[in-house]
Amino acid sequence: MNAVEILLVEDNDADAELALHALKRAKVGNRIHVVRDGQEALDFIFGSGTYAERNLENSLKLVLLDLKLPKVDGLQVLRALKADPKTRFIPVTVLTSSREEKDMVESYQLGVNSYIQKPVDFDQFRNTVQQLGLYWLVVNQLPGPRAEHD
Amino acid sequence: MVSSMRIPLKSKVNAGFALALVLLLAISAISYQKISTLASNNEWVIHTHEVLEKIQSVTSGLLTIQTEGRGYLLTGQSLYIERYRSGIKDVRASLDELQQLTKDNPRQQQRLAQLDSGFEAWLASWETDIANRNTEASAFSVRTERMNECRALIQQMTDEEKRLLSIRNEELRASSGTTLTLILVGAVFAIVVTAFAGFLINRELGRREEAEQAVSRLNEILERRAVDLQIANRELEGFHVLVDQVRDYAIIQLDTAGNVTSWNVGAQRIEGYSAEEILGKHFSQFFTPEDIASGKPERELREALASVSVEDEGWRVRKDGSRFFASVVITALRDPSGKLRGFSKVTRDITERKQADDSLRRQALELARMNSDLAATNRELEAFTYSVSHDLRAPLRQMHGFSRILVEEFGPQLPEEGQRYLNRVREGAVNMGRLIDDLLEFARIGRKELTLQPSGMAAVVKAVLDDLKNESDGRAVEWRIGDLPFVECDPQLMKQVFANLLSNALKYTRPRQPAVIEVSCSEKEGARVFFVRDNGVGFSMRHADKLFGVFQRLHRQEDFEGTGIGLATVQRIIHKHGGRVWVEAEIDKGATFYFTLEPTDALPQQTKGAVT
Repeated sequence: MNAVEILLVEDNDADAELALHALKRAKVGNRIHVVRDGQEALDFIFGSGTYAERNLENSLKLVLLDLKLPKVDGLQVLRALKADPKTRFIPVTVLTSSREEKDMVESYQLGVNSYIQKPVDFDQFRNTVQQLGLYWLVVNQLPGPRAEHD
Repeated sequence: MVSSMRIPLKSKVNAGFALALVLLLAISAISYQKISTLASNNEWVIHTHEVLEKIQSVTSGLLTIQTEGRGYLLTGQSLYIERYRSGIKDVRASLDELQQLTKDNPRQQQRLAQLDSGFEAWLASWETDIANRNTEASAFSVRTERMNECRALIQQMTDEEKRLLSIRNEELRASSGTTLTLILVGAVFAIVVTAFAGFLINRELGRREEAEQAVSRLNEILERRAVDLQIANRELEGFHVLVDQVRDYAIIQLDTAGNVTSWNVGAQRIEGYSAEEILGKHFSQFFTPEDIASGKPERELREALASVSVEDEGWRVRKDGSRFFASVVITALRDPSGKLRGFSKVTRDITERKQADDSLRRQALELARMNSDLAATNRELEAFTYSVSHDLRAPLRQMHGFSRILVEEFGPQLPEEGQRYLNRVREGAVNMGRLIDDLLEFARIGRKELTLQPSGMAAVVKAVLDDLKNESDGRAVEWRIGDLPFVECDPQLMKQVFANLLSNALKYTRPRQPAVIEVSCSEKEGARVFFVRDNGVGFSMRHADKLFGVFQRLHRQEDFEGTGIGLATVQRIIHKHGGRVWVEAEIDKGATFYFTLEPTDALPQQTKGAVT
């Protein structure tokens, strides 16, 4: 199994399908994993629960995170990810329908790398998602796995 | 002033004068007696001299008789006989006088009697001899013998008188000496006593004068005090009248044990007892049975004693048993030495206030409850808007997204009509998305707290124009931006205001070539009035009152797209700043939107006074 590069955290099937459609079109979609709630996201990220056997050495290059999630909400996932030295360098982009300013402010306080409101217009949505994938997976440089343990 | 142990001055002075008087009387009496003695002594001396003189005249008479008798005997001349007879007469007269003068002295009388008889005998000799003209020597010797006898007697008498004279002179001298001494001593003593009495009187007069001055000074002070006291008394009386007639307060006094000692009209009105009924009764009568049982009356007195005065609010009982809510102040009354004299107690019936308070408290509770209800509603509303913002758009995204994908991937298999329908679905989704965004924004502004800071409106407008660049691209738009001041406002919200107004202006000037849009600020009656003017399609002022309502639109969607929320948002922001917004417009001539951020009366009502 190829190493997963993008983790999409999205409870809405349609949104998940649209996002996947857009990412596939941009040719970055072959290494995407979708989880449907916050708990599953945490399990995947930290290799616990059903993801206990996941090789954590193959680190993620991007987490696309919805905020309104069942079980554990997006902000909690973000807090846990950014609080752990092993995962805090993983870029996280909040991709949400929420226009609430407090959500945005809190996300940035927790160290989110970008915050994007999902547009209704699919053309805009697709552009955004494709640019995100390209930017974080191709353009952006991350420190090597060693640096994460320094 | 004069101690009871001392003899009063009056007695002293009286005693002094009495002593002086007695002394003077004594001196007078003694003097009188002494002077009388002196006078009588003197008389006696004179008397002795008289006796001596008479004895002398007897002697000289005897000599005359002897001389004249001899002359006759020798001459026989009658002249001698006459002188002789005259001599006898003189002697006899003198002897008679002597007889009278020496009546006090028996021894002299005796001698005088001997002299008298001696003289007669001697004279008889002489008569015989004269009658006989006897000149014989024998006769002469008889006569001489008898004469000698007489002379001897006379000598004896003279000696006796001289002895008496010397004694009397001595007595006279002695008595005059003692009298003088006595008078002198008495006078001196009297003078001393009188002078002492005078000194005492003088000293006393001085003291009295001083005392009188002191008394008059004291009198002045007393008079002033009396005046002060009168004033104080009048004030006190006035105060008593005041206290007596105060109706809204029960003002009473208690003795140290808590028994009522004074009672005013207010007390009667509030507590229901007349003065006669309550005076002397214990003040615990005003308390409720519960308070009496818990010892509250005594506790209040103890607290008043400990801290001068004690305040309390609580239920009290009237004479008729009804209760009233009282505000009470009990104050311990002490005299200047700190001794407790009793207590004053001022009571006010605040039942009405208490009821009003209670009702206010109930209202406040009700309000608090409503507030928390409202807060809950608000929280629900927030949760609602959150879910609206989050969940309502998701289906729209699906509609838009999948219809888009459908057209892209299966477009060739669809007839042209079918593709057009799918486009309508996408337009609807986009419009609905915009509507939701605008509504959320409108709601967000309603909740948002203003963050006021001095902000340059020129910069705000410039930022808005930059954002609008896409919309104005390819159009002939003439922007006229005037001088815009710094104002105290929330710059983000003001950006929203200008964004809405300017995008409106751009939208409604679409048919104009060129579009002219003016943004400026003018001073009107001391207030800064901002305005955005365009030469767009305008509208009739008949519909101006609808303009600022939510979802209110004056144009058809096909002509000018829009949600009808933009101007409502503008008005909400302006009102939040305490300002006003209004409009002037005319169909086909354009519209001018005015607003001010300061409250002022000098401006027209929202849409009144505009051009029609």
